[in-house]
Amino acid sequence: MGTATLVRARGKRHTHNRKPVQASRYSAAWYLRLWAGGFVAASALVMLVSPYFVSSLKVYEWSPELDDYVFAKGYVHRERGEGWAATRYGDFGLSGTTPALAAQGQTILIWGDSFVEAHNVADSQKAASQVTQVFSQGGRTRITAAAVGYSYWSVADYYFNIPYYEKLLNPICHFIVLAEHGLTDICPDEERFLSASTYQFVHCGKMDPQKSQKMRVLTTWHLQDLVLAPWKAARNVAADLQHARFLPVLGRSPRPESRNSGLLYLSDDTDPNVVIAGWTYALTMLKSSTKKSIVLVSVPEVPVLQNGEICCEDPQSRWNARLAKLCREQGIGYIDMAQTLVDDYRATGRLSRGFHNGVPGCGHLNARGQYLLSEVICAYLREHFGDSIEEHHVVHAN
Amino acid sequence: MSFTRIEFFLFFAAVLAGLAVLRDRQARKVLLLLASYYFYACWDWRFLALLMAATAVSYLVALGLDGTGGSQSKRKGLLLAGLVLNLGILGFFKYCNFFCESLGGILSPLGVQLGTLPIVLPIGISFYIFQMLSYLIDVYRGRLEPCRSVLDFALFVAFFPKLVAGPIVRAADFFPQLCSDVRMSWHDAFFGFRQFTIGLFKKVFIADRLTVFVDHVFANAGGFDAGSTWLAVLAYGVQIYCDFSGYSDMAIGTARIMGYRLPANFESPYLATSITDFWRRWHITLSTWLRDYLYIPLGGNRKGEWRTYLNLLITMVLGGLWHGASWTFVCWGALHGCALVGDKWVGAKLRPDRGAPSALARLAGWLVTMLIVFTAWVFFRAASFGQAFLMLRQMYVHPGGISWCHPFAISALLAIVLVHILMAVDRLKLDQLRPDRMATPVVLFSMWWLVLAFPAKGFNPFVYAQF
Repeated sequence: MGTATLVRARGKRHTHNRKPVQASRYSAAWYLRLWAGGFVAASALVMLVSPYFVSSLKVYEWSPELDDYVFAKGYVHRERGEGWAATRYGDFGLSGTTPALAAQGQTILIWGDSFVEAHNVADSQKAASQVTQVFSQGGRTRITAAAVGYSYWSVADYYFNIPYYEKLLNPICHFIVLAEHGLTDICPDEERFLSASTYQFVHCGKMDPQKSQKMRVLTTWHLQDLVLAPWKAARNVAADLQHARFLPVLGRSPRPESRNSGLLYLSDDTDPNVVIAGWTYALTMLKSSTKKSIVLVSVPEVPVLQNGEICCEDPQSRWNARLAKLCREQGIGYIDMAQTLVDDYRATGRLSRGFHNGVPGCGHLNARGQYLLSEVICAYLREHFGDSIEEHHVVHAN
Repeated sequence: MSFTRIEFFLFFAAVLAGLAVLRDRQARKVLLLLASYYFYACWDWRFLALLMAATAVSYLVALGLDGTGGSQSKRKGLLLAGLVLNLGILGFFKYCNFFCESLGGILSPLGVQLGTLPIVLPIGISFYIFQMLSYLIDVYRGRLEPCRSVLDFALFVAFFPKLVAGPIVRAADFFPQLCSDVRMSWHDAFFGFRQFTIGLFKKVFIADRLTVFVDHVFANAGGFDAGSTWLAVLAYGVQIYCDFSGYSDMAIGTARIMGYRLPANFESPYLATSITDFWRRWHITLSTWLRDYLYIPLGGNRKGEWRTYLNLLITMVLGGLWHGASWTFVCWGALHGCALVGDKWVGAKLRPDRGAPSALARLAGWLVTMLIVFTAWVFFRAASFGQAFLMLRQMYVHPGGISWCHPFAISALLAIVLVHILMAVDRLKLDQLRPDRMATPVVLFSMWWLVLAFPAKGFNPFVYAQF
């Protein structure tokens, strides 16, 4: 039997019309040339435009003084993903001011991860620059603040790097900023560290020397921006292939959203003894790395927008109190910025985290957040090092 | 398996290779059916059995409708059985919990507690059930002879390009293609590739990138100021258009590459100058389905003015409910229904001569239409009435809040406005992208570059796939 046919009755007769294909005026070779040319033109167009919309690829170089890879001197990082800013790097992978070369005054180091790296804001808006500005007067700098921040760093990284930077910069104090997901940055590898039977900090270079070498070659030839689109495309396709599933599945979502499996927040259910034991080890190691003052600066995620309302309560306030107590016992300074952030929001209506091209209230510190961070650091310096520093109050532009 | 994933590209390449090798028409159809079942099983193999069972039942009912020897009551009974079965499947999987919850809400003051069932909604169920309903009704009406070939009927139901989210294909449009010797050609391949590329770009580069912004504003309804809330609602309008028309473009393009034609689903809906015009341009295959199988059987406009309005309202409310089992969808449908009634009333009372409206009247009509359409999107997108009213409060009352000028949302809106203006003045047409023009490969390859290099983070399923 044949398949269905359409019938006469009341309905219209449906026919499957097709226009006859016209013979092409051009040869196959002509089309091939046209489309190859089009591909080249499209590639060139996207490569030329992408640097305006995509963050730059990071360029590192080996530093014999620091025995590690750091951002290359002269490298300018362009951030487009969250915020819109350029960060210029000088000696020893330090952004903005280069305190090692500031022959006068004293130095403080601000340690942290991407929150201190602060690629999201301009150099002049970074907390370290603002602290330096506050303590500068008549061409004389009383205190120079240097930011030593790299994405994904934790207390273990500070422990290994503090001796090297102390040798170079001789700081009077180390400020360690904890801003990523509450207090988890104190411990490396988050829950993996806490769940270990014995704690240990192990130095491991995360940088791939070959990749770093390739990036430097690209930079030398000024090609780093042109490869952005092809590099990202290749990486995305490779990632897609890696996660591809070809077998029929059971369940609604064949590919659930991948989430950071790490410990994002310390909940009330977490055993405090386990966390405090981990913290104690981390802080003891940190303390052993220097004779200088250490101050932890906790930057909780408040105020935050939740279900349409601004929430000013720090969900980790209990843990903050525990950490503050532990720091006191260890002789480490502790600043909890929760109240500062909330007060500032109530006074100005501005959130300290987030960007227009990110999510307001979430993510990295914006210019306002960096300013508030600089404020609490300045206040601490005035209170604890007041006798040895003269300061010049400047009106912040924020 | 989503059109935007690498799995689909490899799968489609394999299907094309198979079609290129196979010369026999039946063998090609077998390949397409197996590929379609595999495609569906990749979402969730459990529901493949449901799809096959529903297909078998509709196939047999249609044969029965043809073989009842002209007895009208038997034919009616069979049709009723077919409709009840198909609508029963749809009702159970899609609306069971909705009705339980709604009924529970009503009965709870009386102390009656109704629970819900752990039901998973089979993907694409609304689309393939509607296709089978239209087929059964067409056979019953005598507009179509029943399909004798199980293979053809199964392929009509499960043809993978349109299985998950349409377009809703009529049997009358699809069966002739199965009868004819469909072959792949460079001509079809180009037009298919062009449409697929444009759809992919709309979905991955525009819709998915707007999702982050839109989702966050709706999740925090009431927290953002009027400007940001308006921006989010406008961005949602762009997102849902690019998401769904992108899917339709990809479906039509995929089928075209294989030599098959699927009906158009969109025709620049945001250029509509009235709400009636909007529904001629938005989700065309659903609106024509609702017109032919619901509005006209209800009496259409043949039973007087007020009955016409009532029929319109009923059609749109049910159309809203088709989209999702939630009162917000019902409200969205009702709003459109009221707007259609208003449009009809204005047309009848104020423009009885039906003369061509002036440019100013068209502009005013466009503004009013867009205001209605975008305001109604709030109910379509909102998770609850509470969320919807908070969004509307921010839009129209301006009580203040956080400002968020999302650069991509603004750029996308400006680009869409520009494209629509150019289309409105006939300066931009899809036909301009011909294979022998230099601009064509530049535009299409640029889209591919942007999609491959700069997709949104995470996996964003098609919005309409959940319906």
